[in-house]
Amino acid sequence: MKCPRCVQRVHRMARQCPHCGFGIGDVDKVFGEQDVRVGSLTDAAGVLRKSERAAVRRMLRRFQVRFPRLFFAIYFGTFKELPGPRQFGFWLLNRGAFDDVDVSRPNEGGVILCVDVGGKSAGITYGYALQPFLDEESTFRALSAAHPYLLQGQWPKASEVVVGKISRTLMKQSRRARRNPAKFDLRESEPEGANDVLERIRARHRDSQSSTQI
Amino acid sequence: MRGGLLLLIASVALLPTGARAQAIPASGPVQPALPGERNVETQGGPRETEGAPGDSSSTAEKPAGPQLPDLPVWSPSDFEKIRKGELVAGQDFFAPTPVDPNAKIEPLPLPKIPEPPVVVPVPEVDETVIPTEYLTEYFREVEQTPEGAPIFLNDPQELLSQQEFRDRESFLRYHSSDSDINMFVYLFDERQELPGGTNVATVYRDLFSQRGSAAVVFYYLGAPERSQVHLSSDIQAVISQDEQNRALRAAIQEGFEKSDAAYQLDNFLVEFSIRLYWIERELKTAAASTIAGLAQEDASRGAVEVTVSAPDGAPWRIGPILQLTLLVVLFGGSTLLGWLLLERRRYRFPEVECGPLLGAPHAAGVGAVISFSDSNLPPSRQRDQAPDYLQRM
Repeated sequence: MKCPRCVQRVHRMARQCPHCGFGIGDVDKVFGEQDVRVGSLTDAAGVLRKSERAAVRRMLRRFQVRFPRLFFAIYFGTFKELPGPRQFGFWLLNRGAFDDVDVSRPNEGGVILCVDVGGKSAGITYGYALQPFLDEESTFRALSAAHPYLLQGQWPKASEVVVGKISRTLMKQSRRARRNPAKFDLRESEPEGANDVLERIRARHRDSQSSTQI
Repeated sequence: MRGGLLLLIASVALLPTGARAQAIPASGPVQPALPGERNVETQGGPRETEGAPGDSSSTAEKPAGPQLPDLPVWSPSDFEKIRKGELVAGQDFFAPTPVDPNAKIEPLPLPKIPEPPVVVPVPEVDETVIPTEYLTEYFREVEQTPEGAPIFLNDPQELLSQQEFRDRESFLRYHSSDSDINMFVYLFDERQELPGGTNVATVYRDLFSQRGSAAVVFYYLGAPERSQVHLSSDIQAVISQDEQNRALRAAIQEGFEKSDAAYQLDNFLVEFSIRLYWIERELKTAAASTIAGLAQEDASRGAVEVTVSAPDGAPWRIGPILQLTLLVVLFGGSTLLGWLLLERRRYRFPEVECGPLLGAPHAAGVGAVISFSDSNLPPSRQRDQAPDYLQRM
C-alpha cells in the first residue's frame, strides 16, 4: 500500500505515513471532514452530455449487478491548485455517501475513477475489501487502455474501457479466490469497534440528510 | 531568702498527700518553726509529729479517715544544708517506687475461648448440570413484556447482572426493530451441559418454528466457542451451511476480542447481528431472482407448448436441410444461453478485514495515476509516481 501524497510504501496498520506524516486529517482540511452526498457518477467538470451520463450510469449499474458487494464510481472534475486525483479519490471514498448505491455495498467495496479534466490526469482508488484483489499494476493497465480516449476527450468511452478492464481483473481474481481462498485470506484484527461498524453500515446510507451535495 | 523558702513550702503544700510524703527526703526537709508548734529534729527517717506520751487529747483529735503518715517537718539544720547545697529539696521525688519483694502477682483470669462453629459440609455442585428449577424456565414459551413484545434474552439463572441484562436485551430489541430476522439468545454458564435430547434445533422446532424468520442462539457465558446457532428453515433454504458457520465463527472470534464474559457476549451479539444483516440482504436478493426465474419458466413453458404442436404440420421427412437448420439453431441457442449465463454470473469475494490505514475508515487503496497531457508519449512514460507536494499545494 502506498501513501496518497508521497507515493511511498506504508505499513498496513500505519496511522500516518512514516515518510511524510500524511493522514486523512490532511485531506479533510482541504476538502472537508463532513460526509458528502454524491452520485456514483459525478460530472463536476460538466464534460458529459445527458445521454452520455445515462449511458455511463447504466454501465455502472451493470457493474453492480455483476459484483453484488461492490460498486464503481466516476468523478469528473477540475482540481486546479488542490491535491490531485490520488488524494481526492482517497478522500472521496472515505467521506462520500453514494446516493444511488445500495446500503449492502459499503464504501469498502468501492472503486473510484477520478479524472482531473483540467489537469489532464486520472487515478483510481479502491476500498479495503478490494485490497488483495487490485493493485497499482492492474489499475495502471486499466488506465493505459483508456489512455487514447482520455487524450481525445472521449470521456464515456474512456470510462467504459476502465470499468471493463477493472471488471475483468476482478472476475479473474474472484475465480482465483474461490479456487485458492488461502492465498487471499488476509484477515487482520479490526481496531475499529464492532458497534461502530454496525452503526456505520446501517446508518450511513440512510441518515445522510444533513450531508452536503457536491 | 525568706521569699524562696515560702515558695518551697507552698509548692510542697500543693502536692497531693501521698506525693508529699515521698517528696520530703528522709534525711530531713526543713520545716520552719511555727508559733505554738514543737519542732523535733530527726535523723535518718521521716519526722513524725508526736504528741506527748499519754496525751490522749491529741489522739482523739485525729480524723477518723484513712490513716496517712504525718508530714515531715523542717528543721533549722535541714535549712542550713539546703543553703549550703548539701541537700537538694525534692531529690527523692523521682526516686523509683520501692518494690515489695514479698508481693505476689495474681494471675489474670484466662478469657473464655468461644467454641469453634460447627462446619456443615457443603454438597459439591456439579458445574456442568443446569439446576432443574431453571430448565422449565428456559424451555417454556418465550416471555413477553407488558407491551406484548417478546423478550429476546433468556437468562433465568441470572448469570448477568440486571444492568448487563438490560443492555443486551436492549440491543436485541434494537436488532429486532431493524432486521427481519429476530435473534433469541439463551444464556448458559461456561461449563453447563444441556440435558440429553435437548439442543438448539429441538428448541427452535418446539418454540420458534411458528415465529417466522428467527435465529436461536445458545450462548455459554465465558465460553463463546461453545455457542450454537440455529436459523429458521426459510433462511437455511437460501443460505448455505458454510455461510452460516462462517457467521458463527466470525461472531465467536469477535467475542474473544474481550476478556470480560459480559463484554464477550456484547461483541458476539453485535457481530452476529451484522452477519444476520448480510444474510437478510441475500435473502431479499434470492427472493427477487426466484420471482424472475418463475416468470421465465412460465414464458418457456408457453414456448414449449407451441413447439410441441408444430410437428403436426411439419413431418420429419423434410430432409437434412431442416435438420441442419435445427442443429444450427440449437448450437446458436446454446451459445446464447452460455453467454447469458456468463453475463448473469455473479462474482463474490472472500471477506477481507483490513485495519484502518492512515486513519481512513473505508479505503486506502491508492491505485495508479496517469497523465494524458502529451499524445506523443506512451502511457508508461506519463505514469505519475511523483509525490503531490512536488507538483501541487
